[in-house]
Amino acid sequence: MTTSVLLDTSFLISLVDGSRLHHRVAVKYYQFLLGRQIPMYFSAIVAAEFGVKQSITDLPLKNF
Amino acid sequence: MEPLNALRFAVSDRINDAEVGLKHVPLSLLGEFQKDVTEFLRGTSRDIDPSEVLVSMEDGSLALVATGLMAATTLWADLARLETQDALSRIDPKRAAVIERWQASSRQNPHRVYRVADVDERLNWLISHETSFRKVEDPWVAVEKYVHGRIVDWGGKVRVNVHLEMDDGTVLKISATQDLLAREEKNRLYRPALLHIAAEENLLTGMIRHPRLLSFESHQPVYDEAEFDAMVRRGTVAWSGVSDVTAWLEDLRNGGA
Repeated sequence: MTTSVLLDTSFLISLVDGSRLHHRVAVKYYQFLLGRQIPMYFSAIVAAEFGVKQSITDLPLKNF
Repeated sequence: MEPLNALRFAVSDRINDAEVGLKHVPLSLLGEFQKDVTEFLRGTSRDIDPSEVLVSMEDGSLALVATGLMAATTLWADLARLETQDALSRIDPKRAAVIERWQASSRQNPHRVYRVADVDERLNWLISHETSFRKVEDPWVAVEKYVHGRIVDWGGKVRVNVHLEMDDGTVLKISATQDLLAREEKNRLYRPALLHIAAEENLLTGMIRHPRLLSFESHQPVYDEAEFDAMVRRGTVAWSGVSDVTAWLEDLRNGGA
């Protein structure tokens, strides 16, 4: 079975906002998951919550 | 549902104060029921030849037992779908029409009940004035998706398309433009690919139709530092008004924000 991860809204916000306390940690996780080619998913609810402040197309969706 | 060999179709009713059965059945009902059962078995795919189906009549109600149905794959698939009464739009249209006719007859005559069962009665459903088999319009919505697979064909003079073999083995035929394919400098044939497409998706079944290629994407997820930095710059501005993410999310989920 392939390992994959489900991302939540807080993670995405920490990833895209450089001023967040956990931004660097989120970036490290993101780079780690990309490096290991572990598929990343987020739910439609997460997309809707994120989309309140920023379009989800700002995210590198081809990597998700 | 595993294919079985036999199905029992029965109709019960009271006509002139007598139960319908082998000894008492109006000619019109007998004729209609036989025709409906034939049409139901055959469907549009005609994976059953009615001349090869043997039928026996049983007493109790007017019942026909059809045998020789092992190869009728669409029939058994449709019967499995009929476990939910809103499934009529997802089964063979001829079978759906038969069920709609039976449903209408039962509503006009509350004594009339149609029953379909297999010999073990693992499958056993009925149509009466109380049932509500119906069609639900398929909810198709416009979507954009990233689909991963292997390109097994591309090109075309008039109908330009890309054939993408998906991870589950199915091949998705995606319409494209000559311009889009001509711009490609890489030979992508027989290689893994990630395609950005626009399409319509069925919210019930997840089926995709009318897929249209928007772009080829890097099939290997990569960390692009410049792209990432630009995203962070945009994100930092976008989220600058939210100091406490947890509180903001709680508020949003409670109908605030």
